[in-house]
Amino acid sequence: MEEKLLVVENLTTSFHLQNGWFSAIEDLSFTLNSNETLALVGESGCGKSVTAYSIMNLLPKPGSRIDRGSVLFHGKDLIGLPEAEMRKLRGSKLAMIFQEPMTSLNPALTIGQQIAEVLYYHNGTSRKVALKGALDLLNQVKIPAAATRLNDYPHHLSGGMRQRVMIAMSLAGRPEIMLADEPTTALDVTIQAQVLALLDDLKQELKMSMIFITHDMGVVARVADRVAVMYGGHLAEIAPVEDLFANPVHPYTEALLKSVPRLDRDVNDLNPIPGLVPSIDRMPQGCRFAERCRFKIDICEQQLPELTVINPTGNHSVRCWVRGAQTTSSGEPKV
Amino acid sequence: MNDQLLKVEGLQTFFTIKKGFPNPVTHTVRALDEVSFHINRGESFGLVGESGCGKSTAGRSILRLVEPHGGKVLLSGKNVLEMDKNQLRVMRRKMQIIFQDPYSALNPRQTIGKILAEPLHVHRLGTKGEIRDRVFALLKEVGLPSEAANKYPHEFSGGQKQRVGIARALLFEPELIIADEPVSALDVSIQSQVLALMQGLQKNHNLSFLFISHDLAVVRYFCTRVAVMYLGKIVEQGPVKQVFDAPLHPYTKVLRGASPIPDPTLSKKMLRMEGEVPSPLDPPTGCHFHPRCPHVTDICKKQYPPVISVDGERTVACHLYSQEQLTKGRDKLDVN
Amino acid sequence: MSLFPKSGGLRRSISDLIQVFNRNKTSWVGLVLLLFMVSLAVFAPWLSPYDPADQNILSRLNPASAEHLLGTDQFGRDILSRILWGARISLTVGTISVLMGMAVGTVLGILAGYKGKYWDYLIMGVMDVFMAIPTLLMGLMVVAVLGPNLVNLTIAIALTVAPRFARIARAPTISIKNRDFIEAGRAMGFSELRIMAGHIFPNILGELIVMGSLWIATAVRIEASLSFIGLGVKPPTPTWGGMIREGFQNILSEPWISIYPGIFILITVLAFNMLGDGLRDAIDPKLRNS
Repeated sequence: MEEKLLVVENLTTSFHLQNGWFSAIEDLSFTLNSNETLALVGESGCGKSVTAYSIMNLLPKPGSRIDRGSVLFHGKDLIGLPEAEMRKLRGSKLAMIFQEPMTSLNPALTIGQQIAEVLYYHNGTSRKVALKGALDLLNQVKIPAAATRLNDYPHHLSGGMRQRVMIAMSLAGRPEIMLADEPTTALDVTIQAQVLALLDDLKQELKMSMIFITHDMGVVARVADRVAVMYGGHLAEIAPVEDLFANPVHPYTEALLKSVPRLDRDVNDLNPIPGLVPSIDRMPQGCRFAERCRFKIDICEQQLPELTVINPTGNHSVRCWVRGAQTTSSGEPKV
Repeated sequence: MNDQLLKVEGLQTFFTIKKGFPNPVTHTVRALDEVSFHINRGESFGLVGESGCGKSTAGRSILRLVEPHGGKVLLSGKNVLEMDKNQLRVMRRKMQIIFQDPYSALNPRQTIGKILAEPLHVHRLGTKGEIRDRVFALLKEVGLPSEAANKYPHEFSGGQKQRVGIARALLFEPELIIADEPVSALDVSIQSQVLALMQGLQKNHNLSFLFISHDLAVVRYFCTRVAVMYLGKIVEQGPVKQVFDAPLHPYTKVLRGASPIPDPTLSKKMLRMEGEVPSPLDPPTGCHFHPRCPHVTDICKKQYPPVISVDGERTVACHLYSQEQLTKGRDKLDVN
Repeated sequence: MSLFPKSGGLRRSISDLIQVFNRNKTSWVGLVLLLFMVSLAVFAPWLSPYDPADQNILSRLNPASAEHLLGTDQFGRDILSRILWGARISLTVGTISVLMGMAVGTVLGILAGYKGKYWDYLIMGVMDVFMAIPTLLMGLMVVAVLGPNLVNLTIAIALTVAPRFARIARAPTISIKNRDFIEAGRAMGFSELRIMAGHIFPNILGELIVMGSLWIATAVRIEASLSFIGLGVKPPTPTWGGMIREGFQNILSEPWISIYPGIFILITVLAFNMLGDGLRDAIDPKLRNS
């Protein structure tokens, strides 16, 4: 039986722009089970990064606020947790890795110093023990000649290596959940494959769960157990990865998958989704995808649909008036 | 062959870097090391590879935005590299470029209208009124409203800015457009829009494209032929479906295997390759790929493999495919 | 519909400017003070109660009174009138010298930054030499060679300002020249001149204006210093710096002769500084916020 590691409910975060407060994510609800990778996928402005930052309480202040919602980690609500307690969790049980390792690593400190610092901070070990711990971590992320690397500075390493170092740092506190914000987007394809394989291995070894944020559907197919598709700050669809790709229900998911060129087969006509994502300060009423949706009916533009379960096992949900109707007894969606 | 629009022969571009303290050593980066390919009229030719392979430098060298050090670039038979300033000016009208980053490709201080009109003014291609009309026509062609002419770049989204960049490339009615990662900085759904636009324009204007990208799926869609680059050299080239479905060079196999496919049943079993991309400052001896190659043999470490023609349309530079091997019979080769 | 909406551009620039000022209220203060000073200078002939050169031995060294709002100096000249007329000179010299220095310096800085290599070494080397010379010494040298008058004073200050602007213009030029739209210009066959003047320059203009307004404050101060040591205009033409000098002999008994012009210098410098700071604070976020 899977245990619910993280339960996010109705999470709503807003940002202050020139003309007022606008929500970047609204009423976001999903769970993360133990030993699973949940992919948060979507395009710019969908709110996937904001979600991670909200969970970790790393939103830029001032100018942002969490309006409502809860994030239960082992039953404790992270929203509203005092900063001192949050800091204990961050970097230990809850780890995060980012897209640009050059800006996440301190260019003025050696690799060894930076990893040791994390160990020192969270485990209170002595410097010597911390450095040995750093060496172990570098080996765990399969950095060759780890011992010499300890004395290197970030600029001595390639992008892929730096990313491994960042992963090593995030492992220092034995995290239960790792949030990965586009960790391979800036890497070359072959290096990306290495890093994804590494994350796979680590997940198995450490029995870690991951929230993997990306815009690349190929990467999603590679890493995810379950997928949450986001659009315009809302959760559009959530499903196990095989179901999502085999049977995409939300019109956005379906249109997205159909519009992407493929390496493994011929695509005769791309069917691009017309239009643009509305900007955060001009979000329409109702379903935010409606204006670009070919299934749109009147109610779509007036009222936001609820997230409804659409299969008997209950693990595939969709937020859509047209496609989100309840299932019939035979498991077919009712339209 | 009169169909050939562009023929690149043995193109070489080097960069020199001085590194080290207190006695700086001069390193030569062979960004392009004898690169040869050709593009026919109306066709899209893909150039793929990872960072440091030289694909961007290839595009810029052909346009002489970066000055090459050797080789020939024949545009309709005339060598671009030997042209003087005036001939170059005329040549510039036949070859244009689209950049990767829509945010830095447009002058933030100029309106879209000015950005598009200025080049026409500079080359005296029409009266004020004619230029105006042409700008509006181009805006329409790339799917932007005429009001866009009065607006500044920051008022547009990435995809729209890219459309302006495409319109700019069309100003002189070029024959060849060098597209340097034209959709890599765009959202996935916008990528499809822009690719569809580019395809339509290609048909309408009989354009040729040199399509530079790291994304194999996009190249497979857009291009008919492709060349795979690694550390300044082309390791394999041929019709795109053949190269991607049945790659010959070990690096191409790795590249293909590492590219994630949006299908969980296929994607989970991906290739794993060890090793870093070597620094272009200090490439390995012999075949550049040998440190990471699963099929490496002695000769690979000493001698760079010659370019071998396979099936007439494909070429590959790998010792696995030396002439003797080929004459022994292709079914003996492990193509997959 | 025009492709070159001059009016649209101007209107937008002005509304942008207002937005910029609103971010930092002190810039409004600076602007108001500045406008005040400028109007004093412009309307000096009408505002000043007396002729600034008018001597009146009978009412010399008088403190502020109903007849002479700011008192009189040792020649019986009305200080207020002298200050008003002096404003013309100080402000004019300050502004024009900076504009001249800015023009020369910017051109050199862009050339050095864009063309790089030998141009860079040569130009910045010469600029460094000029910067090594202290301002007062520069003033002395110019005046010694060309003679002490207003024009040469302006030139002397401009020579001090120019190298600074070369440096100020050079750095952003180097960062901009690598951006794709510059390469696009080259791919379009634009001449280097067109690229430097039409593409690089407009993109660094903001920073130049900010630094320019700050430097006018400095230029007013430098003019005062040079006039103070006697390198400025010849009497009886009033300049603020000159007035301070003239009041020096009586500084203990009739301090107002030096203090009043000093106050006006202070306010002007402050005003330019506030304006410049406000502009500077707002210029960067503006580029990002739109």
